[in-house]
Amino acid sequence: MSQPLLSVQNLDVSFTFQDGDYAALKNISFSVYPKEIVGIVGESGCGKSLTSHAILGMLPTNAMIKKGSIQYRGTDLVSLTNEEWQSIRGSAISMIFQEPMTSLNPLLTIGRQISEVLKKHTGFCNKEIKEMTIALMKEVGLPRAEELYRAYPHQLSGGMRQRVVIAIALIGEADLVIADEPTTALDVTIQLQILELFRKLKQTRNTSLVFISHDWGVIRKVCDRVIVMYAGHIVEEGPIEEILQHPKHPYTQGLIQSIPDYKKRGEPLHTIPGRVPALRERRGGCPFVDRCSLRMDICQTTYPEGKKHGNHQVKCHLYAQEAINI
Amino acid sequence: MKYALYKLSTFLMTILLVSLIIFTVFQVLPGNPAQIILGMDADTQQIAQLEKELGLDKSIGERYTSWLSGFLMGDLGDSLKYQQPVLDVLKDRIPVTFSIAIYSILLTICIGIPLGIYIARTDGRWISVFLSMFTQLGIAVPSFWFAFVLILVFGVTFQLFPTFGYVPWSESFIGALRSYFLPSLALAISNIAVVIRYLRNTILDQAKMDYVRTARCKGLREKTIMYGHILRNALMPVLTIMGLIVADTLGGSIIIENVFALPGLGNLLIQSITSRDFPLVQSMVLYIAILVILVNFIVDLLYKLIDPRVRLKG
Amino acid sequence: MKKHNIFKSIPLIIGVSFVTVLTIMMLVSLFYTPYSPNAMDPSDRLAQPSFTHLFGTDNFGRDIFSRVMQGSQTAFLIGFSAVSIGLFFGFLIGACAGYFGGWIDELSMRIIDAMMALPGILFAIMLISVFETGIRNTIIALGIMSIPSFARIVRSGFIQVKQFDFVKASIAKGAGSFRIIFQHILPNVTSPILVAVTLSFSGSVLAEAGLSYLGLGVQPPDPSWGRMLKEAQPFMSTAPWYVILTGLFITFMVLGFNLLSDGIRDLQDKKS
Repeated sequence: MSQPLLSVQNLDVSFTFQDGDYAALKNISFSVYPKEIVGIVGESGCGKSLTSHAILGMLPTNAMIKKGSIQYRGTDLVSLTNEEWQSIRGSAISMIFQEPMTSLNPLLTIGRQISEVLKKHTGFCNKEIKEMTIALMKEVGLPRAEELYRAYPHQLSGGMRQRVVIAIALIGEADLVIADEPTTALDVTIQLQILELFRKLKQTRNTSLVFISHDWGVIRKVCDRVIVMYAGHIVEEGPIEEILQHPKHPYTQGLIQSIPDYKKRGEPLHTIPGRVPALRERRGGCPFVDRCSLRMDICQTTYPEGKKHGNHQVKCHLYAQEAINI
Repeated sequence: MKYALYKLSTFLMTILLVSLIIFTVFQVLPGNPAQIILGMDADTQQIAQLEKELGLDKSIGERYTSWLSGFLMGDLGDSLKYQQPVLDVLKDRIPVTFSIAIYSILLTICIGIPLGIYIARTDGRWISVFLSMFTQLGIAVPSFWFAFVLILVFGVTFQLFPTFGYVPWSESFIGALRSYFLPSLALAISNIAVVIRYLRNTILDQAKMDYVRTARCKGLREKTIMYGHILRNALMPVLTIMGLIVADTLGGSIIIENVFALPGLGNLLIQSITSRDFPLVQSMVLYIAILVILVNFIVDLLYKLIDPRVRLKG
Repeated sequence: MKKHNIFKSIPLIIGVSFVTVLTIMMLVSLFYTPYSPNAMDPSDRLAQPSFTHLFGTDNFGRDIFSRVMQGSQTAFLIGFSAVSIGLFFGFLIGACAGYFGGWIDELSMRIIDAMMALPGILFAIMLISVFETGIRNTIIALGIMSIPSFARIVRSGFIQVKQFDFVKASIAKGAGSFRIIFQHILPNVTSPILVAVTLSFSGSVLAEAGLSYLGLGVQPPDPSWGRMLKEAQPFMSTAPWYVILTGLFITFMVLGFNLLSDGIRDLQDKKS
């Protein structure tokens, strides 16, 4: 396998509050390879967005990286200065946000907001920049691109705005794009169009994508590999079909059982009892223990080691024996 | 277009109401206005003469319509004291008041906006508390007292600026600039403080917006984010308080002109009140009110022109 | 987070202490001033501040500190009375407009808007030019000047609260208007009204100083800080302390009430 584009190693992130520090991400390790689409799933509050913000160096002011490294093409991002970050953002790593309604500046034209990235990171002249911008606007499916170049965000529908946000993320030819719930705020039909766009871009562009979502349907449509996060930990990781067919962690199993399905018509929808523990409630042991139907005594006290089953990895005491057997 | 027409109709409506209020106030003058104006020792013939001049023999409705229609046609009535049309009396005064008003508003913008940005950037540090207290002080200081302090410091101690009277613009531009400086600054001080506080708040609000995060993700420098993205959005609400600032400036100039002995509208207003020149007072109050309403009207339209969201909806 | 709270409460602490000190000074001046505020001493004119005359003396040899103390009575009187008038009529107008809506609302708000189109001080000057000068008329003029802002706040409070379901429910249950107003609406508009009260208090003090400085406000022998500044102006360069110290007290009072109002607003924001 080739060198990973992005490699996160043992990352710990904590929030500082009045009464002390609370770990929000614990021991996060994963890699993203070139041209790969990696999904991150989990309920709200599991640390998906925080992980993406850490990768872009845009953690909230009261959050801090405690240890670990984030390597992009071999450079450690954790120790970058502000200026160094500015040269990475937009041109090497970029991001697509959830809220297309508010992610764009209401007072600037669409063209200006997209082309601004090129103005910052490249030395092209204005005419070239405009041409490239319009070409990309067409590529992401914005009709009448020349006209929209001069339009303001409020004149566009939600789906079109999200295409603009995607164009902003792509125009700098970033190798790695992080999409944080990019379709959640959209209507279902628009959602499908945007997912279609992502699939198309996967074929035409050399971009790796980290796709954050709580929606397995969305993840399944675009991702090659998926990472399941729970309460600041990665609990399971593997190829998307493998995980969907054979989920190992009880949390993943629960999540997958909760996907509405035609075949299960008439049955009550499965839900995982309880909720994600808040930052202050997290203790040692497996974070899922309180909601797990298969918990054992050891789960209360010890955090499970990661076990590899081929390219499928899981952190759960259930598989401690099994892994040895393999 | 519909928006502009709507605004125009409220603009005219407000002028009508304001003129009605002003007219009504002057109608409740206790006793016979002619008697009050002429004083106790006037004889009946004089009083009858003045009553006729003031149109007191006509009905209230007639007097109001003739006053307002005359006003709108440019006939502001006659001044009793100066024995000439009010408009002629005002003609020499208006440039003086306009000079300090415009000067003061320019100072407000040139000082208030950069400081507002600066204070927003210091947010959360100790210095921001002190700066914020300073702006509170700027709002609390009576403008005329601040003018005294300016006179003491710049006029008396350092002798940098003239402390009374003025140099006309036609005579010497620099001279005029210097002579109007202290009154304009004294007038601007509270508005500067208001703009600083207001802009600081709108900048801090805007800085939390999602589009700022998007801009940061593009790799833009913090300066570009501030000036290219945040500031535009933060200045829009500041535009809406411009009407208030203009009203405050025109109101404040009444006092400040008297501190610096500047022969402007405010100075004339006080003189006319002392000499009971009611027709002049009445017309001047309406004149200043119309100026304020007009500025508010223009600000509304300007807002519409600048903000693309309002621009295309209307 | 904790640091932030201290940050935020500094202005409030300063505001409260200014207002407290000035209130104490005003109360003391009712019974005691170092000298009689109107006692002239021709042999000791424009004396510099010293232990005998804390703030020096004016051009008639009157003790400035005693006059400043006595002037605080006028400032408080005018602030308090003007705010009371403004609050009373503003509440009445705003409550009617907000509660009944329809043409009553439309008409009263149009008039309020028109009043607000006039610069406040100009409005007061206009009223005084008709009513004559003096403390009473100054109070009336400043009271009328502060009606619009109260009316607006009360009106929007009423309209807002009327939308709440619990108010709708109690109207539906047939609760009387007064009951609704006192039980539901009043508690919800008190804090914005408190903010407006403190702000119009300081606004009135400031406006009174301006009017009296112009000779249109308080007339001698009634004491007034604005009037004192008018009298002090000719001696600005010979006795700068006269001007500066007197003006400082106006500033302190206005600043104190403004900071108080800011503090109340912060508390209110924190609650919601």
